[in-house]
Amino acid sequence: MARDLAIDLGTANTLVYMKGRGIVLNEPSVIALNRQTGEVLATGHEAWQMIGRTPGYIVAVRPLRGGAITDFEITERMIRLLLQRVGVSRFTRPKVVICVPSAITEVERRAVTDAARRAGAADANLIEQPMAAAIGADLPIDEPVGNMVIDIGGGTSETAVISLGGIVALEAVRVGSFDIDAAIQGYVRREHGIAVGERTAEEIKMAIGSADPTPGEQQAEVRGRDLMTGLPKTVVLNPDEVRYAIEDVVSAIVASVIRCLAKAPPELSQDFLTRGMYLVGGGGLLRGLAHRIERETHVPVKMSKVPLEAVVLGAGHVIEHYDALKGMFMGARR
Amino acid sequence: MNVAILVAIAVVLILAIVVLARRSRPDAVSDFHRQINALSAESRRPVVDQVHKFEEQTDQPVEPDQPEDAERPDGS
Repeated sequence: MARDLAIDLGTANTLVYMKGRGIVLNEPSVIALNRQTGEVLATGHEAWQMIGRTPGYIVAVRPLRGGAITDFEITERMIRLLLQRVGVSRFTRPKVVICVPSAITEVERRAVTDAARRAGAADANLIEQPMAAAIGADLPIDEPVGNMVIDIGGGTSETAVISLGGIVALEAVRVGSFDIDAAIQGYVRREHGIAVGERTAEEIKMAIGSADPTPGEQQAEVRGRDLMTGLPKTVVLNPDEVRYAIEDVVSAIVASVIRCLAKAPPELSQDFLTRGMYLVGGGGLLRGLAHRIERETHVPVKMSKVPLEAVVLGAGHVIEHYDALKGMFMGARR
Repeated sequence: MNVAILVAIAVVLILAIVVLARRSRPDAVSDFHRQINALSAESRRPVVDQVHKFEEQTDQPVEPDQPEDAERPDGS
């Protein structure tokens, strides 16, 4: 008998929670394929290390962009491999709960559930990421108080106000930490004339990227390919430049938080001033982001203790109490 | 006599159907309470325990077969 599963199918990472066991898998949402035969060569960490470093016949891709499936067939194969790795076979078909961005379209919803069913799930249901994040971040969403959660993922940023087990206000933008990486790539290419890969851009972000000035900032050396000569070249980037490069993306995220605050009913609004907002998701780890949101909204911002795992832990709680919480699935609203 | 028995059986059947239909009808109030109870702090304790386990294991890889030198990407 298969144990039921909760899956956080993120643009950047995929996490799997097994009923009664906890998190059993956590790896990048990347798959490496042989371009000629279409065979899967690697998934997860192994495939992630191949990004931008593959010979012509291998392609390492992220099948999800902006929280949506960009390649249905590859996503289905990736989900099938994930399920196989956690012990799902043709004869053991578990119930699966999958976390998805709240703003996905009906077509995208069907694509995700179909992919999971074809990959071996007996039943596949979807739950909104902010709701799962709020459960996983241990917010008292069963009480009639305003709980606000900001989930910044690889491809989407979602802000939700939750009270009495339901979403009261929601604001989502298809902008996330990959857009920050892309903005850094674009800036370095434009201003310094060198091309860098997405992994290098991510390293720059992690090393010196910030949304607001922070103490102890340092410069960083960046190596790439000179666009004029084609030769390897090193340039020095400072944190001000990176802040300038990513400003549009950061502003879009902060603006969506402000729009969500404006949508919240006044009775719940006052709760935020005392309870604060909770930041989850890998994008929330950007230095100075919590401070920047706090500065612009005048509402305290707290970081979740488990920003990367909150969503799958919340979905895991739903799979543990499947019958009681099935009313929370997308499309099952009363 | 036979007619009376048939009528009695029919009445019992109708009553049984009515009772079963009432039972199977979803009760919104109890469903809502079940959902709220399942979201309570007490019910979520196992998830919170997982959070604490994660805090304790922050430096350890989640999977035992994960390579030691594997870099972890940022993002969610």
